[in-house]
Amino acid sequence: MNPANYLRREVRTEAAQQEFPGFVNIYSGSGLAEPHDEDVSTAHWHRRQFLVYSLAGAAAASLASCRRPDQPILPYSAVPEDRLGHVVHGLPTFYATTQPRPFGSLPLLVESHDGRPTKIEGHPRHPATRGSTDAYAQAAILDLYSPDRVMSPHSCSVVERGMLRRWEDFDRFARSLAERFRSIQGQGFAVLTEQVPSPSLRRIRDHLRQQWPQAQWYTYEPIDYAEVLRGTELAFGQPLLPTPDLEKIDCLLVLDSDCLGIDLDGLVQARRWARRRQGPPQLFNRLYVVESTWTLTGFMADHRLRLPASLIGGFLLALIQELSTSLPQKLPEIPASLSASWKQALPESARRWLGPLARDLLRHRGRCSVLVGYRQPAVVHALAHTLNVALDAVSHWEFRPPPPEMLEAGLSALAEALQAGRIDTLVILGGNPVLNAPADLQFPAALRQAKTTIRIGLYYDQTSEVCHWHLPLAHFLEGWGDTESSDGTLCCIQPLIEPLQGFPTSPADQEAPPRGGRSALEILALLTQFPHPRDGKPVTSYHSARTAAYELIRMVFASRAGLASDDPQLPLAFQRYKQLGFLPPEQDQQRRMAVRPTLRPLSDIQRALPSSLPSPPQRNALEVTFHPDYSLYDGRYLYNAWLQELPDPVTKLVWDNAALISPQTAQDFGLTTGDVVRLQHDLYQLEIPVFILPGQADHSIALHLGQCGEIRIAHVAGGGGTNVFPFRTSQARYILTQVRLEKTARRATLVTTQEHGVIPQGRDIVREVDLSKLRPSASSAGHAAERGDKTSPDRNSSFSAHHNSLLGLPPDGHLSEEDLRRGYQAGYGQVPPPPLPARDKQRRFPLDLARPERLDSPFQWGMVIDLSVCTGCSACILACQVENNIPVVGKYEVQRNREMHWLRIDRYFSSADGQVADTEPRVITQPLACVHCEQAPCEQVCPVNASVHSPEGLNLQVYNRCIGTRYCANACPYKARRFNWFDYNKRPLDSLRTPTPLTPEGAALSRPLLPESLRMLKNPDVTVRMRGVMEKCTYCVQRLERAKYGAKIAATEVAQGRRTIPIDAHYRPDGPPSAYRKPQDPRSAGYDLDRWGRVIVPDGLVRTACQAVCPTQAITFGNLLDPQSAVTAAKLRAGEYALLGELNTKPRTSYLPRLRNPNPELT
Amino acid sequence: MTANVITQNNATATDSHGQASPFPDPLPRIPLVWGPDTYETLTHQICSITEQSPPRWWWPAFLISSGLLTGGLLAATYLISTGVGVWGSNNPVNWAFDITNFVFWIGIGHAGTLISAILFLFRQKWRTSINRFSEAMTIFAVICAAVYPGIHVGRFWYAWFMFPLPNANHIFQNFRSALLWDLFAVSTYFTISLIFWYVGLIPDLATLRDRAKSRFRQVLFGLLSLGWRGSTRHWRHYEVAYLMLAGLSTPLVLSVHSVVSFDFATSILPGWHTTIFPPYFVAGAIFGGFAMVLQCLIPARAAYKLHNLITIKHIDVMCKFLLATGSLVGYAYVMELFIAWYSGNPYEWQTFVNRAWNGDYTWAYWVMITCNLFLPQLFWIRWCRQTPGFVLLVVTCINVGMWYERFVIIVQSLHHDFLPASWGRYYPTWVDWLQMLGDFGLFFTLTLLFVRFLPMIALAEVKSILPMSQPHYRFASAERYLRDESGRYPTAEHALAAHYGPPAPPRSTIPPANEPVPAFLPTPEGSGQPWGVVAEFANAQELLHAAQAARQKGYTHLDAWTPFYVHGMKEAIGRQRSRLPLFTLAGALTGLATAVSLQFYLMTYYYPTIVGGKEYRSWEAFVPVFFELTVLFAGFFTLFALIGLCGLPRLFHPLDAHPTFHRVTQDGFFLTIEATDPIFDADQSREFLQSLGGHHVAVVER
Repeated sequence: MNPANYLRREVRTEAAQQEFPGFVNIYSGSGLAEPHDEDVSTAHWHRRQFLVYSLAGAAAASLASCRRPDQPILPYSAVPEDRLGHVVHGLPTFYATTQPRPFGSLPLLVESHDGRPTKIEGHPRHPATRGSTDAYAQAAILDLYSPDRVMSPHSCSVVERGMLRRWEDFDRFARSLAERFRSIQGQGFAVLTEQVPSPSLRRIRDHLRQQWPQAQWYTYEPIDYAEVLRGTELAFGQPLLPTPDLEKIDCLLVLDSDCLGIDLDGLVQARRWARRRQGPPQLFNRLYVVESTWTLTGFMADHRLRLPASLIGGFLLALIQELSTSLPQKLPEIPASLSASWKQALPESARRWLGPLARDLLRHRGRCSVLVGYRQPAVVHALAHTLNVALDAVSHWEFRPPPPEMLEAGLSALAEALQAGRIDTLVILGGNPVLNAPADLQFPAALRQAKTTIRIGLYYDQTSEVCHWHLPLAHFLEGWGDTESSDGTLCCIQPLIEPLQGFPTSPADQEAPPRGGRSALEILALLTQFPHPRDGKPVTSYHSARTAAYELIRMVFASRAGLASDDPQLPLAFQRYKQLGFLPPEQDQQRRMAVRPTLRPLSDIQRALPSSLPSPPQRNALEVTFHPDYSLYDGRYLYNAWLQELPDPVTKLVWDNAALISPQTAQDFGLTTGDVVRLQHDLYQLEIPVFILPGQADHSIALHLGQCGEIRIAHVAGGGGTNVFPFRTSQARYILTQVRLEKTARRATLVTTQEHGVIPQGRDIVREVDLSKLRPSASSAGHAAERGDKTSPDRNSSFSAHHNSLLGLPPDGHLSEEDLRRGYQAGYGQVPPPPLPARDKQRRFPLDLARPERLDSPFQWGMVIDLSVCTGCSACILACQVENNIPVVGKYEVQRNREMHWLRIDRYFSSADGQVADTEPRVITQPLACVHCEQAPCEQVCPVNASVHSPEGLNLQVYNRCIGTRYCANACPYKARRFNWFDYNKRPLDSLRTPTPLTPEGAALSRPLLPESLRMLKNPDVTVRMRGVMEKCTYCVQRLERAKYGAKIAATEVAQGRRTIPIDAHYRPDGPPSAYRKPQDPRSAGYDLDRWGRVIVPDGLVRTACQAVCPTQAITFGNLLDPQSAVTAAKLRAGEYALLGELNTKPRTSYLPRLRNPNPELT
Repeated sequence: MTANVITQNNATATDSHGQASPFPDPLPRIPLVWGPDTYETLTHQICSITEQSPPRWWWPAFLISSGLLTGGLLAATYLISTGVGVWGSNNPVNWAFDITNFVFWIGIGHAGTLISAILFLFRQKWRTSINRFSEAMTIFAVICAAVYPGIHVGRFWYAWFMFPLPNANHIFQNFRSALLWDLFAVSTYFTISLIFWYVGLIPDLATLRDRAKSRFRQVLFGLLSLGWRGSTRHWRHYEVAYLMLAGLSTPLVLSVHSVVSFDFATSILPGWHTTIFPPYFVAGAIFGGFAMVLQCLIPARAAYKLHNLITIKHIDVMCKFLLATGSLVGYAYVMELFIAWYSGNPYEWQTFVNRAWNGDYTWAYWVMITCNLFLPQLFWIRWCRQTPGFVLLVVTCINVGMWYERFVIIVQSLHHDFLPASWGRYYPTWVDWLQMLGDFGLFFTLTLLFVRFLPMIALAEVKSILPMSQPHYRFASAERYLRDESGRYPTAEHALAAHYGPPAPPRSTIPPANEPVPAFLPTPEGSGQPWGVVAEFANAQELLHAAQAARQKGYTHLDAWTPFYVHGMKEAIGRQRSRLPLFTLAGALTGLATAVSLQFYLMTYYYPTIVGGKEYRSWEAFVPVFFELTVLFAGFFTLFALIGLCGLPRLFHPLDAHPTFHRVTQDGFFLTIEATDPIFDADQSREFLQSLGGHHVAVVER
């Protein structure tokens, strides 16, 4: 290897593996800039001052507020020297922070443009998540700017009994409250929080318990892991959170769990699981899924069994019995009555599974596992643990004590205390129990029993409406805090912006009380008179609460890091902690360490077994299962329009939820999609439209939680779904049996982004490859030779995907992959481009008829999407939406097929014969955006040259040239283009149309514009499109361009040995006169140059938004001309195919087929 | 009585089938205009429509159609103010009613030019009764179509980006886009059709001018007719110009719908990407155009009692056209299906299965098949062809069917294409419907204004095909007209024509002048010098003989003034064939050069862009614009050459002082000898003309 390349590898490695995603490392000195000492008291102001100034421009009126230091606004040119490393006008800055989540928060990097956070990325250096985020995290940025939070006076002001108040009013009230409770030792004082882990909050709780011994602390989550904990208690004698390491497991049986989706740690698990699927085929794992409705895990299954959730315990029992002959001494004994009952209960399809499955597990003994989802009762978990122990699988599992938040008293206890009148004052921090408490608790009524209820929430929601006080909670990007990720790592919640104060919408509004949220720590420190960590005096004012909260975080950090509060290393270590965003686990002194539990006697479990299994659900006794929604989770993202419009990965429903039923159930009751049915159980009933979903268990109805029955987002009409919480009781929170269904005469409009599920005959759209058919023994190798396949020797010839094993289009009629590949103009580096004459000798008019116009840039961008590991989680859709300023359009517009998502995920049902969705369908998801065809059908049809190709192979859409003929969208065979039918970026969704007498929605004559806060959300690097303009995926061209300039600057600096000098020094008016000097030779710094001497961006530096977010790394992007780039390697992988390649469009985005690893005994 | 004649003679014809015919072979010719019409009665019949106040039904009809037009205008305003989203178009179906209407109207616009140009080249004289009307319909239909490229785009105010105009972005058009070809094709077609129509109108506008009573009409039609007076020196250019324009229009008719079909055929969408499209679209356009001509003509014929001019025979022939083109279109339908199956292309086959059997829009397909393929087959039956009411019913269905044809091609193909995940349906909104009805409002409003204000029959052309203008026509006596000795008609058509009576023989006497014609006619502000001498003759034959006699006498500066071009007259006055085609050729070459340099300069040198991986200078895609600009420039050169060679506009002329000269555009035939003639002598020449049989002879002051 020549030395230049060696150095270059170094740069690439550093860039790709250690640094922040994209390009930030180029600018910010790899995030390892020397931390400097700071004055602790002003630490959090120090680098946020600029943010304050920039925000002040937008909300000058609020400067008068007492919380803002009165400081002059400085123009950018006078940014002080010492702040130069932080904010460069026009360039983004990244900060590490964490999104608090129940059971495990998500570490993030947030991109900030001139003080405005605009984009969220995963934290690439966090040991657990490694840069993955999900749709919820991507959408969190909208909550920050949501007009329903920032622009609505109710949401962002202190409200007492419907009246707007000042924070000072609450401060006064809080002081009197504290006075009162101090005298009675907190008798009647209670706090209800979510189960988000927060070490600082634990400190406050401990303080509260110590100071007011009578006070109560409750925690609640609508979706919790109580059964999981009880299961481990039953099996091991202590409540533990079990986590498997899916990377080590060869054969996994998943029972009713979405472990690769949104269940606990799904992001981490999906990544680990996918790593096995991206390696060589010998390392492939096998996944069995038994579930009642589709989950992302079910999508990925090699074998999926649809089984009512109430029978899954029985299935496990049957499996244990099947295995008991092979593993006699280690498994619980099943009573004869029980085994007789499962024989009746289990359907034939399940029974057929048992033998092959048991044999496969035994074959993989020590490398297999059984995983049970939180919906199943504790005894099923306990059984699974015993089975895992018996299969020697328990070593792949990590058992940790749960965070203490999960062990507090729950909502039932609170409701009971409320009803009994034992609670005088209740503080509800976060959550929305009025909406999502189980119906039998009668929580809203119970809440009225309390004398004072104080709600601290992001939005003025259903709970706020019932409570006496509503206090606006700061968004996690607005206030300090700390939390723990699922592996117990301490993470820092670092704000990027001062709490948004709301925008004065009218002159009269300027008189309104100042608004804006406070962090939970600030409010609770004041309410509980927490002793200030600095001097020990109780916190009685907001100012001291603010410093106390920050000090508390520092204090928690110090104790976790094992540093004394006066340790001289502390300031530097704390600075490092904030910069990095988390405390590396090996430095954590009080980490919740994994334990290695031992099984308790099996008799406990045997005793806990039910006497008989539930009978399978019938026509007159249906089963209902409750699931978190892929968009709204448990309803906490109810106000997020992005998530509301994110198509559900399974049903593709937007803005709504529905009762999912199987085609057989639909036939039994004579239902079609959209029919409203009435579900009845005991006293409870629910009216909800049905959605027919192939692959749903028969007579089992899946309900998605989250919708509240109405749309509470301002200026949005339509949608809102059905509130299914009233049908959920504390006895049956996840699985409900004996439900009756009745058809009503009503119909509802359910809107999906994809109407058709089945690929018609003969279409080669998604390819599935059966791994077993690709083994060397299979006939495909011979077939390959027969066809004269000249596959290069470095490709695994036995694995060379041949069409005979692919479903879909017969191979012989059309071009082979090799043909397609050779056809690329840029050619994957196969044909070196001829040398070009010197720049000044080039003629603009290429009269040489032998030389076709070529894509002659040294960068030829391309993408590969691996269908084997795409779970369909839809995070990429949202990442693209945030990065590229893509508007939401509302339910009505989606109904007219006008959704704007540049990237969509097509979901296809397939089956063993590959064509029709039969009773046991499979699912493949296929992310699809513009594929950047080299011979793009859209380009040649555009009459005004608005759709053209760049020399780098990008299919460009020139917005200011586009007149909107929409011909390109018709011509696009992938239908990847999106048209601005209205001014989506300018007008609110309910006034897209000019009012007319004929349009009911057009009421007002004024022309309202989008709320101001939403304009702060826009990525300044991406044009905001107006109506009448076509748009589509650009391969994040803004990132590409920035990477190119960034590489050039970085190469210069490395070559000149000036790497440590802040980049922006060059841009200062008073900076060095010759700011940018051409490097003597960037090659000496390890960079390659192109033919014209330009610096080539090293691989891995540039990542598209969808690529950066993908939890399973299904998307690879890079320069096809770089023979060592990841994307080139991916393009050369066997089976790589171009979607609709037979059209000869030569797309730059290609796909790797879905590889399946079925058990031959089951096929 | 008509019915009696038909039944009787039908019976006779059936009886005599296969037996020796008692009739001469060839059969007596049926004249194209039925009844004893003369130049004067014809002129009066047509011109009085525009001169009298409109009939009672006109105003309600006008109010309804202009009401629809207003609705269309409102819909367009709403569309432009709000966004294209007010239509039901959506992501898979990006084009729906808009382009359906566009193609529908462009198709309608084909009949006019076909009748004018192609039938002209094929010497189909029966076309003269309907060509004016159908040419006007062409213009109006293209106007209706031209609405859409403007308003259907997302940013209406930037629609000018479609034209090769210099702009701040320095980006020009993409000449490889079928949509741009479309723009050039449609605008060229509109321009050439307008020129053709206007050139044809000039003699009739002069007729209206000369009949005008009010000063306003005199000035208006005087200006519009450019001072046309029927000079044979003008006629000789005019006839050639008309031939040139017909020659230019003929390939244009064939090209314009071919280019429209390229919008679809050059894309890769299943259901669009079909090589059969150009001929199929042209046949469909002629089919739909003829249907629309009949749709308008049959009511107009009834309302204005034009049965003598637009005869049953006309309707019959047009129905045969419908039958032929309808079958062609049907063949295309079947062939599309066959090829979709035969090609083995799964996308194509699925699209057609979806179209014909199990799709969302199968009903539309069968509406189309029924209306366009099955119903016209009724025209194999004579009764169906010759019953105007029934024909009206069928052509209405055909118009519906042709609209659905475009709907099926556009919407049905778009809604299910390659990837099942992106399939979606289309539902029109009220704006779509209003816009579509607005087009019909625009079309019928313009048509009603046309029949009200302009002669709907090409008078000069119809006069030239009257039997009396044919020098060799044998005028039979009234009782023998088209009949044999036994009183039987050879065919039903003969009986029908005979019902209108025999044609009038040529006039032998000249109606007297309203005032005496003096020997010397002073003109206002005259110079006192003679301009020339003028004489009126009774008919074209006499005029022709007189001109030949004068030429023999040695006069060279002769001119004959006739209401229509009299065959042989230009030779009679000593002129030759016009040199106008040279100008047309020059125009064609200029246009071609312009197109070549424009496209190559912009696409390969000025701002070359990589488009669809194509070479900058690949010329194949430039061919449509080569053709269109060639025709456009040739058409303009022809028009200007005609005007220039004729020395028009000439609004005043010394001959206007002659008291009966205004008859020249209606039924008068005049011969003049100009004073510039070397052997001109005022008195001798006057006497000479008198001796030839001229009347109202006078010397006109210059």
